[in-house]
Amino acid sequence: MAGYTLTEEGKKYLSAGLPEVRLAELLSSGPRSIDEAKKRIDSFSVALLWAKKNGWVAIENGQLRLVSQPKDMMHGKLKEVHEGRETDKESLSVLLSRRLVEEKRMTLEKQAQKLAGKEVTSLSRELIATGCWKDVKLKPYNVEAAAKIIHPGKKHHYAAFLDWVKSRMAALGFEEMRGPIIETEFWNMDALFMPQFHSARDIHGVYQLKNPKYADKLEDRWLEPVKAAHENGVAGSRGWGYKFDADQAHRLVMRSQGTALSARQLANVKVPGRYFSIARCFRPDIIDASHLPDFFQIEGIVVDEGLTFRHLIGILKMFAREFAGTEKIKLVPNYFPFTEPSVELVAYHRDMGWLELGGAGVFRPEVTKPFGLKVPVIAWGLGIDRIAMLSMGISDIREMFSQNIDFIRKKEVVY
Amino acid sequence: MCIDDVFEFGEIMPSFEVSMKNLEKLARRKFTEQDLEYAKAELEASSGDTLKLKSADTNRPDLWSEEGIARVIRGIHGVSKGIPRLAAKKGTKRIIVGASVASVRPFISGFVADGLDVTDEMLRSMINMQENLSENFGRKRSQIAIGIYSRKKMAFPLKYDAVEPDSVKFAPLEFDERMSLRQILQKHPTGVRYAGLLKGMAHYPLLRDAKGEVLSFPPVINSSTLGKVEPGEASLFVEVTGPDQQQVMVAANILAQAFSDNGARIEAVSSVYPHRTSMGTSVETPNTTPQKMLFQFGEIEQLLGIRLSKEETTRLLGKMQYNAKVAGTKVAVEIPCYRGDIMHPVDVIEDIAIAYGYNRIEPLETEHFTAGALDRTTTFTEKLRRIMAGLGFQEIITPILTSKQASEKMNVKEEMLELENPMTETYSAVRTSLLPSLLQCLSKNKNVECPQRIFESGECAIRLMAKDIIKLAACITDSGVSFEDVSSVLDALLRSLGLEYKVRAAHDPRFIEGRAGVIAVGGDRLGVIGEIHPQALNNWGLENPVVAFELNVSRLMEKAK
Repeated sequence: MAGYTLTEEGKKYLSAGLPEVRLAELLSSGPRSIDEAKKRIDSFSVALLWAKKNGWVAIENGQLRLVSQPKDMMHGKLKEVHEGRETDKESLSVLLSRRLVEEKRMTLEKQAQKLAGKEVTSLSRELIATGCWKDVKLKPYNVEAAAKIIHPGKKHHYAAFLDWVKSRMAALGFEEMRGPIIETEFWNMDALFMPQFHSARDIHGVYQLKNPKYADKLEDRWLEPVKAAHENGVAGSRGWGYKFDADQAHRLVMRSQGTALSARQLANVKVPGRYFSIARCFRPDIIDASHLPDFFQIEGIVVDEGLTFRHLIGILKMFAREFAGTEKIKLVPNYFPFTEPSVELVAYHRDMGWLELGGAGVFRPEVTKPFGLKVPVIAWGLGIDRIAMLSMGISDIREMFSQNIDFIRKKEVVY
Repeated sequence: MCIDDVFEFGEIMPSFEVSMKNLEKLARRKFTEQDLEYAKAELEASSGDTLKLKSADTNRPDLWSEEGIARVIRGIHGVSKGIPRLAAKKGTKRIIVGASVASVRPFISGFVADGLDVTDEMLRSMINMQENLSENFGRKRSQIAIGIYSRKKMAFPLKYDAVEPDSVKFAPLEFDERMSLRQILQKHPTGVRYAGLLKGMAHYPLLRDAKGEVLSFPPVINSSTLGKVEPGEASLFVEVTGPDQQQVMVAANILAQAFSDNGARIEAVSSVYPHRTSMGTSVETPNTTPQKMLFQFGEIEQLLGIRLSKEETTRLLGKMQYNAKVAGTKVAVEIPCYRGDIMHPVDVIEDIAIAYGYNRIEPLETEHFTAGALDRTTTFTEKLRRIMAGLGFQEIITPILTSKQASEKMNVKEEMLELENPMTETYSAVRTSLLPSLLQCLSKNKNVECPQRIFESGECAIRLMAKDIIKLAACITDSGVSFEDVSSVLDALLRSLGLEYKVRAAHDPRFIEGRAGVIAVGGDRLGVIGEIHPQALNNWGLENPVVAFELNVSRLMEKAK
């Protein structure tokens, strides 16, 4: 039969006969023990399987017995295939399943040849394997048609931006600080020399926790010197001159400024050291329709012997270069409760003009001395959202924190 | 999420209006927007002659008026130098302070300003200054309350004492009807607003003149007779009350200086206390004696990094309205009486830098090398986020503050870590899980193409410890989505981290019974996984099944060590 050929096993059976036929022939002279039959017939297990299946042989008391005369169809079929004659489908499928016959390699080619000169859509395995792709014309697609839309898994665009900023900060020699969002007033405010009556500390400035209200006892080695700095001053300061309430220092609040992390770092600082953090902060006064109840702040400190206001300006210039791509900056006097001098960084952006980019200052001695620091500490903060908008080309702050999955999916990947 | 949250502290920046004409008159020259920067004022808006300014310095109430801004401009441009003139005529006028105010509102300071021609404009400016001083500096009048009166109607000496709430009646401003102090707190809008300041007190402060006529009920309201100031007035009486004598005096000094700058003649008034205060028994207002400060000349270079000559230093301090002398290694400064903010030499040195010009100071690079590094929590979480993105999940960011209601929509009753002072119910508690946030996000995206595969990582609270940890949660929604769709994701994530884990069947009302499990890593329960309960889906208005898991990243990180 055209397109098929005998396998090695098929060829063997063509010359020697099929094993089940040979078994039947052996038994035609009378029953035999299995052991004996095994010795006389090679491929015994195949022989027995098919002899039984054909109903020629039965096993009785360990003896094999011929029960009906074999009708050997298969040998003829093998011959037909071998000689390339037509054979019936049923027999062919048996021969194929017994792996006595296989498809000719040529068949693939023939199938492929059928396509010769035609235009095909699918570049099939046959065409590639046989090389017949040379004889067909692959149908052109409309490659200009709109692509099917799929959505990649990815980071949120703002989170990806924050990842980028963090890696930049690390590259600039800053070590990351992390700390709790559930904070004490002590680290959030007291340690930063913000008096306990400061307006940013009232119920409109900071979220307080309902239950529990107070943190575990703070360490006296920090609490006492901070208290003293507030009450009567430290290192030549006259202090705020009020009675410091240690209970209020333990009051649990939601971190309202990233500087809380810098305060915590003061208790554990390396000299020289550069630190930064991107902190999620919370303030009651900023909720409205377009604002989230929490926001991100990036800030940090630089600690070293002999640091001055000039170094601070050097650092601000570096930030303007790194994050706004500009050397053109302006420094404006400002006020922060924990720095003196205090300065605001305004940077010139070629598309957006002058922009407030950050604030900075030298920590007051009332902030550093209670932690036993004898070296100057520069504190700085940058407008992270402004930098994000500059670098991602976003003009509406709400887009930054969108929860619209469709929007986020389609948002271009900048970082 | 404010764009202006640049290193700011949730303070209300005082804003005020100035007339350009008046400002130029007071400054005795023209000025530029840059001049305003020296006074830490930002131009918010302008229309015609009026400029709306915002002060960047919440600790410098003396700068919150056109008089204050003009003083800085005069100094910077050398129109005047050193402490500005404030000549207060010694007078015999007195305020007799009763012992009864000691526990209520113990201190009062007052002065008379003569030779004025009070115009509408001046009246507006006065009220503006009064508002900023008492609302911002005086923290909503708790620390500072100010009264301004027509001098000619009243008779000295005045009497400041505390009375029973029902014992005195008078007609407050804007009312014709005479009311008791208690009634004012109940009925008058201003009374209602400030009633809290007197809560729990048996006696209320009252200021009366020699004839017993009521001037005002500090810190609440003036009387409609003596306490009303109208254009055309030539002589005013100004008083300040509060619990802190220093602050009361600074506020009174600021006001006196402002009136004086406008050409008024100031006459001092003495407050006579029944006991000795830190300033004495009879305390004269304004107190124009400058505070003195002495520091090392070297401290300037040490802080600023610039070397100034002694002459230059003296000149710069003069520009900033200090009287200064540099002798030997010491700098001696006298501080104008309206400055209550100077606590330490660094405050004075900042003024030197401002007068020198921040923008003239050459930057300097820091010298020492420091190794930058990211925190391990950051890098570990970032790794998880990267794997989740690789598994086809979109990251989202949701607010950390949530509500009890949102949590209960998960079909679970749970104690929350609640806020004492929420602004809105929607954000009244700290989330303990990210699952409600994820479902809420899905509920906002019902019309968006499925499947939706989202995840978030971030801080969550452990209520009992009042601490926060990092969690990561992911969910999938689609028609026909089932447990194995999400368990395969969890498996891929944890296998990528090289962590052995087991999911053990567990009961959790947030999930369908029999389709929920805890995720155990090294014997510890570090998360949950399951198919969200249909009741929760109904609560969120979701119509497709949702499968989800949540992991405690902080603990997972320890296991991954």
